[in-house]
Amino acid sequence: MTEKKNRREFIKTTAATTVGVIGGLGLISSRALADTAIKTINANAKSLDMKNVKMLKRGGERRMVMPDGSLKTRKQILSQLGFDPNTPPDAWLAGCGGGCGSNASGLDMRARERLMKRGFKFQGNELIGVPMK
Amino acid sequence: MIRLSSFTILSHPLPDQNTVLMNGYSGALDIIQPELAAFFRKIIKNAPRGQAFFEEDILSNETLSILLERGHLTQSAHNEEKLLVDEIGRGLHEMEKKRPYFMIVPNMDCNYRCTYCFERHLQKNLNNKSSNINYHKNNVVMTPEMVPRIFSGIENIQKNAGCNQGGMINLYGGEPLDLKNKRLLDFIFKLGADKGYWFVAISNGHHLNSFLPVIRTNTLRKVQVTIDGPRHIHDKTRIHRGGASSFDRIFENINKVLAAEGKVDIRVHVSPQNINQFEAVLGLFEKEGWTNNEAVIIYANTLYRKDDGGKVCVDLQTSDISLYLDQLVGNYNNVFTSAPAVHIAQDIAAVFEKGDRFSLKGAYCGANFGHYIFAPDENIYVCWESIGKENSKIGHYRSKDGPIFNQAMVEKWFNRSVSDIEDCLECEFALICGGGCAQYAQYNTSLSNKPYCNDFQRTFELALADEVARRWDYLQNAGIDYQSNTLIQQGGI
Repeated sequence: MTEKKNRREFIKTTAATTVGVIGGLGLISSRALADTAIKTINANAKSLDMKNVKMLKRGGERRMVMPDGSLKTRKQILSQLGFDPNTPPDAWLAGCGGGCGSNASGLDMRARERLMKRGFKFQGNELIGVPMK
Repeated sequence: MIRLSSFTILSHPLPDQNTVLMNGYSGALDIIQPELAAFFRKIIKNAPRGQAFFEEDILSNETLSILLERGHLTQSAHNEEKLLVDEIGRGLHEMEKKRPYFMIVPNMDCNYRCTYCFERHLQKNLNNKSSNINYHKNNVVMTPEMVPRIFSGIENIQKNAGCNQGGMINLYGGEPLDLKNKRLLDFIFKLGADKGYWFVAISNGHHLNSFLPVIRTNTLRKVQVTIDGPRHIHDKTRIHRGGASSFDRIFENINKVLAAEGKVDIRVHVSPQNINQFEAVLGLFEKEGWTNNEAVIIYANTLYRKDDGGKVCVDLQTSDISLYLDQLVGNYNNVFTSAPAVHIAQDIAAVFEKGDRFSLKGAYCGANFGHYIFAPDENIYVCWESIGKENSKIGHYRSKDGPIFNQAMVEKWFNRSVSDIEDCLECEFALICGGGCAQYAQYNTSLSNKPYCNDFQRTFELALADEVARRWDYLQNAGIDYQSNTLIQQGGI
């Protein structure tokens, strides 16, 4: 109910805004807006291409956009789901025999062996322990 | 339908009633006419955040194309813009981490007892055997044997950050330039200069006359001193322990520093009790030749204090000070109504001089990317607001093998960027303010991943208008015609 109400409120507000902007601009003359002039101060500053931002990346923890618009790190999402936020990504992998490519989280035997050499522990196909630093 | 960027900033009106339109991540600054500014204000006010849509045929194609190119209008969704700001903040923060800043505190005691000093708790306990820093422990003033270890620590940190040895070191206290520690200071200056460092100092200014030789050699390049009003006001708040008038002494010393070709920042603390004296004190500065003087910066600033609940507060908001003093500073090119206004003037320089974007930041100050304060108790602190306090201690330099850091504390302080503060990512000022003071945020919320906004937004809107008007006037007086779309191309600045 609340969600529906919020959505209704949002639609009402947006509609009111659009009418306010398009229908009547109040004291703002539409001619003045059409004829408005802009003086640029710093010509070298332009809108950023989203792709270019990758150049700025220097590590740091990535975040994901949540359905409510908030940005959350992997740790925050795990905590929210009630999991240990320090669980390494590898812990979600289950070992499987070589040749199975259908399981996106599948770990082939060679990768499993490599992990075991690094101190990871498996019980059957399930990862049950990670090396302590 | 087209959308106004969620990171749109509109300045306070300029003297000609136009407005500066700024984008908080493209760093673009354009001057727009009152009607367009009023239109943008209206849609920002009426639409939910991130939903400022309007029909594009209201504007001419030329205007639309300029606004799109500059990032003021966008076809991206609100969340995409937010993600972009998050990415930019992170990238900037990583770059900032490669520029460590250093501060040496030779002395935690002070020959002044200013009525509002935030280090009072520390100074009151300097003779208390149970306090962390006291005369019985002999850790109030640095000893000469600490100095080489400090420089070696600084070199170490610079090397690890991948930057060159040398650069600026800030001297801070207590009172850093106390005459009784002259021998220690001479050693610091000598060793620092030999290794390629130069110094600035935040001082009460009482003994500056004893440090003129290092000013002449450009080893001590700049000092910040404080004058709180005309003599009868100043001497009541800036109290010399020997009873002498601190006002007379500081005035005299500023002139001596300037004669030695040093630079001086004069901070004027403004409170409800003395704000009406600002004009009078400015008159005194003018008489001395300090206004419109390239070697001097004069700025008003509010006084921060803690309320009974330990939260940081002010009696006068910075933006209110700006509004009150605005008319008084217009005639001077080196007088500012607040510390943020000084920073904005510095950050905007490249905008006017090279046409570059407004300087953006990923974190508020060095405490959030690499500020190392070497104190006489042989500890390394991160924030000058909290020297001597556990929460600011990130390591020590007691070992001959170099500084030892507490990694958990280092990460806590140096990993705070706007991208880590959820509230900031919804704020159009995020990459300009950097999240505000981490220490104040912690005092007020017990959390460091919260912003400390104070009234930065309003202060910025005022300061942006002031600074653009000031520079615009300068261009006009210089005979540069700016009646075209592109100032830089036409003016060739």
